[in-house]
Amino acid sequence: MTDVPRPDPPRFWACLLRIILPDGVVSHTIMGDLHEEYGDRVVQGGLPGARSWYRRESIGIGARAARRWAMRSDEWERRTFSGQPNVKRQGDSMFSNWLRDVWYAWRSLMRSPGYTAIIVLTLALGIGANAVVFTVVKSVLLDPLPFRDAHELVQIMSRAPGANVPDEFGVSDEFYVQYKEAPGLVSLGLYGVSGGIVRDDNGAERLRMAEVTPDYFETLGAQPILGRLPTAEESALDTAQVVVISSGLWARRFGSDPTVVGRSVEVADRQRTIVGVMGEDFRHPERETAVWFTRIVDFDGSNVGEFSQQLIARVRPGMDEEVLLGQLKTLADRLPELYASAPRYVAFLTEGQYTPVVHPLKEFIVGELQQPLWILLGTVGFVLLIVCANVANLFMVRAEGRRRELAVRAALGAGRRRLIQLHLSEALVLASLGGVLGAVLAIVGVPAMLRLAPESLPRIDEIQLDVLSLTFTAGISLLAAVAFGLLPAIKHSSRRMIDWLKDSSRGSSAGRERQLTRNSLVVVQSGLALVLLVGSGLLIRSFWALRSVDPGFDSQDILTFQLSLPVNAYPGAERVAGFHQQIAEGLRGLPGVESVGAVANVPLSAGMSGVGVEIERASSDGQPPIVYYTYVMPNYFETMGITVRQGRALERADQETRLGNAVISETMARTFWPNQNPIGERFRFAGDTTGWETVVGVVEDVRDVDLRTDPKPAAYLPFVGRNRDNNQIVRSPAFVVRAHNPETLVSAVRAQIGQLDGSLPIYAIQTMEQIVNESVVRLTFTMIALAVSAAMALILGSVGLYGVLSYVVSQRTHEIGLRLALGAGSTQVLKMVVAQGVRLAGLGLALGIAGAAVLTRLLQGLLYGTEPLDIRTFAGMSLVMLVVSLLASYLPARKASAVDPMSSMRME
Amino acid sequence: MEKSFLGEFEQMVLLAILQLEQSAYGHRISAELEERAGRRVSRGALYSSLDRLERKGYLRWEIAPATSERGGQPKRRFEVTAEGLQVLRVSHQAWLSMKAGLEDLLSRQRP
Repeated sequence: MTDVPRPDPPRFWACLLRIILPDGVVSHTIMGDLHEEYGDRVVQGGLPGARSWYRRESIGIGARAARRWAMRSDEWERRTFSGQPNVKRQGDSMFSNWLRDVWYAWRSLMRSPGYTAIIVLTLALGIGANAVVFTVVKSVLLDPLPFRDAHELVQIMSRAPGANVPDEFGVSDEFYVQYKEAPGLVSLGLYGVSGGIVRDDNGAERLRMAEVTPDYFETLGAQPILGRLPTAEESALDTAQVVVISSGLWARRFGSDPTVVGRSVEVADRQRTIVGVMGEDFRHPERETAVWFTRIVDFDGSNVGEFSQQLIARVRPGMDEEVLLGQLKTLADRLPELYASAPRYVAFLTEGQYTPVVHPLKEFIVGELQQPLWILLGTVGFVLLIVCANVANLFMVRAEGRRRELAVRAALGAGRRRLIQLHLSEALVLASLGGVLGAVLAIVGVPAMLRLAPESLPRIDEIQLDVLSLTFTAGISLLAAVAFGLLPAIKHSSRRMIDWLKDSSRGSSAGRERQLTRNSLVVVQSGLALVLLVGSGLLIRSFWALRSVDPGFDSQDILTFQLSLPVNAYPGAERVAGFHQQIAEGLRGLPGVESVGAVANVPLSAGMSGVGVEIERASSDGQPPIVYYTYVMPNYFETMGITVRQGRALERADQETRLGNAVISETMARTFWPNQNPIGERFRFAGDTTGWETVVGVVEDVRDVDLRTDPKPAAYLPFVGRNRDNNQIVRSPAFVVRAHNPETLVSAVRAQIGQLDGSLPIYAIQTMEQIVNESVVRLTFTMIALAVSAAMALILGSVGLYGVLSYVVSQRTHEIGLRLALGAGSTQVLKMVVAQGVRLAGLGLALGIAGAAVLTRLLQGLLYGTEPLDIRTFAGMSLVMLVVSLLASYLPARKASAVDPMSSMRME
Repeated sequence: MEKSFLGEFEQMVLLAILQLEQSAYGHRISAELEERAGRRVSRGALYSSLDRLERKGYLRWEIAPATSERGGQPKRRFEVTAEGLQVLRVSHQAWLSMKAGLEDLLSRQRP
C-alpha cells in the first residue's frame, strides 16, 4: 500500500490545524495520525469522502483546542492570583498565548456590557464614517477610469490668456487635424455633445448624444458588447447613417433585444441604423450619453475657430508631459499661417497667446470634486481621532478601576510586555467589534451618501463598497485599537503599577500624571471639535451668503421645461415661431398660470454663449469684446421677475419685425456706454454684416453661470426677429411658467402640449427653485457632510469632558466633603469644578483656533462671501464650544456641590 | 479517590490500547474501537481522552520515528501504565459484581 502515491491532505485545513494546535511534539503526532489516516481513506474510499472526513476532524479538533484555551485562561487567572508567576508554559505558541488574552478580554468586556456598548458604538460611528467617505474617495479619485490603460488617456484643451474668454475651453476641427501629426500621441479622437430626439413606434424621447470621430472609440479602447463600431466609410457619408447606443438605452427602450442591431430608428431628425451597443461601464463623454454617431473631419477650413469640440488622446507610454506639450504647441503654432485668410481667427490665436493644455483624463473628469472629497476624508479622519481620544479616556477610567488587579499581576511578575498585551487585546476586541459594526454602517451609509451627493458627481455609478474599502476599514480599526489601547497600556504598565501599590495614597505623582494624560486627551478633543465647527461654520456662512445673492430673477413659483421641434415636422422659422406662440397661449389659458415666457436656456443651466461684438460708434481695433447672448420670447422678463431698468422689454412686435431689436443687461450698458443712455445704440456680432441690433431696453443683471460668478455683459435677442431670414431659430427652447404651486402644473402642461402635438417629448421639467438648489449642490453636499461631522465631534467632545469631570468629582468626593464640612458653600464647590472644566475647554479652544487658522485655508475654494479667517465665525463657534463645555461641566459640578459631607467622610 | 473513577469511554480506550499491544498508535486505536465495539469516535474526542488518561497517569507514550505516509510527522505509541491496569481491574471488578445474577437478562437476544 505504501507504493501507491498518497495525496497530501487538503492544504487549507492542514494549515489551520498547524495554527490552532499548540506548538509541540504531540501536535505533530496528531497531524501525522490525520495525515496517515487521510491517505488510507483516499485509497479505500476515494478522495471526496476522505476530504470531507479530514475537514470534519479538523473542525472538531479545532473546536476542542479553542475550548481548552478558554479553560486555560481561567486556570491561568487562578494560577496568577494564587501566587504562581505567570510563566509561558511549555508547548504554548505565541498565537495561542495571544488568543487566550483575546478570549480573556472578551469575557471581561462582556461583564460590563454598557461600557462595551458605548465604546463599540462610538468606534463604529467613527470607523463607519471613514469607511463611507473612503469608499467614495477611492471609487472617484483613486480607482482608474474604466478604460483600457486609462492612465495613458489625456484631454487636450485650449487656453488663450490674452483673450477675453473662459480660462479653458475646447478645440475645433483644425486642431484635431494638426495634432494628428504629434509623435507623442498614439491616437486621437474628437467629440462633441448635444441633445437629440430618438423616435420610433414607441414614441419620442430626448437623449444626450455624442458626435465623435471613428478613432474616438479606438482612443478610449472601447468595444461594443453587441454588434460593431461604425466604419470609417460609414462615417464619411454626408449624413452619418449608423449609430451606436448605450446599454442603458438598449435595456430601457429595446428590452435588451439582441436583434436591435440592424434596426432603423429616427435619431436627431434622420433615419439611422443601430450597428452596436456599448458596454454598461462605457459612460463617455457624459454619464447620460445614450447615442454615439460618427463623423469624419473632412476639413475645408470653413468652420475654423468654433472651439465647440473636445479632444481626447492616448499618449505614447513613457511620454514626458512637457515634451508632448511642446509638440502640440509647435503644431498649433502652424495654424495662423495656414488660415491667414481668416484674420480674426489669426488675431485670436496670436494676440490671445493661444496655447494647448493637457490634462490626464481622470483629473479632467473628477478635478472639481477632488478638493471637497479630500476635505471630507480629512474631516471624518478628525472625527475618528476624537473617537479614539474619547475611547482612550474611557479606557483609562476602566484601567483605573482595575488598578488593583493589574498591580497584583505586575507584582507577581507579569512583565511590561505582558500587561501591554493584555490592554491591547482588550482594545483589539473592542476595535474589531467597532470595525464590524462600522462596516455594516458603511454598507448602509454608502447608498445613503450617494442619495445626498450631487447628481452630477462624476463616476457616481462606479462607487461601491469593495474589498479595498473593507480592508481600509479593518486597517483603521486596527490603528484605532493601537491608538486608544497603547496609551493606557503604557500608563498602566508594570513599573508604574508597582509604584502605585507602594504608594496608593491619592494625589500621588503617578495619579496626577494619569490625570494629566486624560486632561490632555480632553483638550485635544475640544481642539479638534472646534476645527470642525469652524470649518462647517464657514461653509454654512458661505451657503447663506450664496443663497442670499440676488440671482437677478425671482426663482419662486416658476416651472420650466424644454421641448424640441424636429426639422422634418417643423421646417422654417415661421412654422416654429407659430408653434411656440401656440404653446405659450395654450399654457397661459391653464388655471393658476400668471404668465408664460421662453428662453433658449434658463439661467444657471446651460449658460449663455459668448460672442465677440462690434459696437457702432466705437473704435474696433484689437480683440472684439465678448458679450453673452441668448434668445427670449415676449413676457420672458415679466415671467422670470427680471426688472426692466430702462426702456422696455422685448414685445411681440419685436419678434415680427426684421429690425433686430435687443435688450441688454446693466453690466453691458455700463461696459460699453458708461454714463450714457444706451437706448437706441447699436451693436452686432463681430463679422456679421447682415445688420445691427438696436438696444431698446436695459434689464437688471442675471447670474447665468452660477451664483458665485459675477454677471457678464449680456444681450437678449428675440426668438425670431432677424433670424426669420436665415432660419436660425431656437428649436428647443425652455419655457418658463409662473404659477402658484408650479409642481402641480406638470400634468396639465403635458396634456396641453400633447393636444397640440402628441409626438413631442417634454424634458428637463424642473422648478427654477430646483435649478437654483442644484447650482449650489457641491457646496451644500460638503456643508452637510462637514456639519454632521462637526456635530458628532461636538457631542463626542462634550461627552469626553463630562466623563473626565465626573471622574474627577468622584475621585475628589472626600476632599469636596471636607471642604463643605469646613464651611465652603456649595456655590464655591460648583464654581471650582466648572472652572476646571472651563480651563480644559479653554486650552482646547486655543488649540482649536490655531488649528482652524491653518486648516480653513483648505476650504478657500468653497467659500463665498467670507474669508477663511472670518473673525465672526471663529468667535461664534468658540462660543458654542464654550457653552457646551459649560453644560458638560455643570452636571458633574452640581453633583459635587450636592455631596453630603458626612457620608463622604465616612466613606474612607 | 478521584482517580479511581473511569468513564465508560475511557475504559474502552484503555482496553483498545491493551488489545493493540505494541502497535497502539492514535490512528489504530480509533480503528480498533470501531472494529471491536462499533464505536465511531471523532479524533478530537479521542485525543482529549488520551490526554486526560495521561494526566491521570493511566497512560504513557513514547515517540516513534516519522514515516513518509505520515507527511514526515512522528508517531505516538501508547502504553497502559501499571496504575492504568489497576484501575481497569477495579472497574472490571465493580462491573462484574454489579452484573452478578443478571446474566440471563443481559445475554438475552432481543426478539
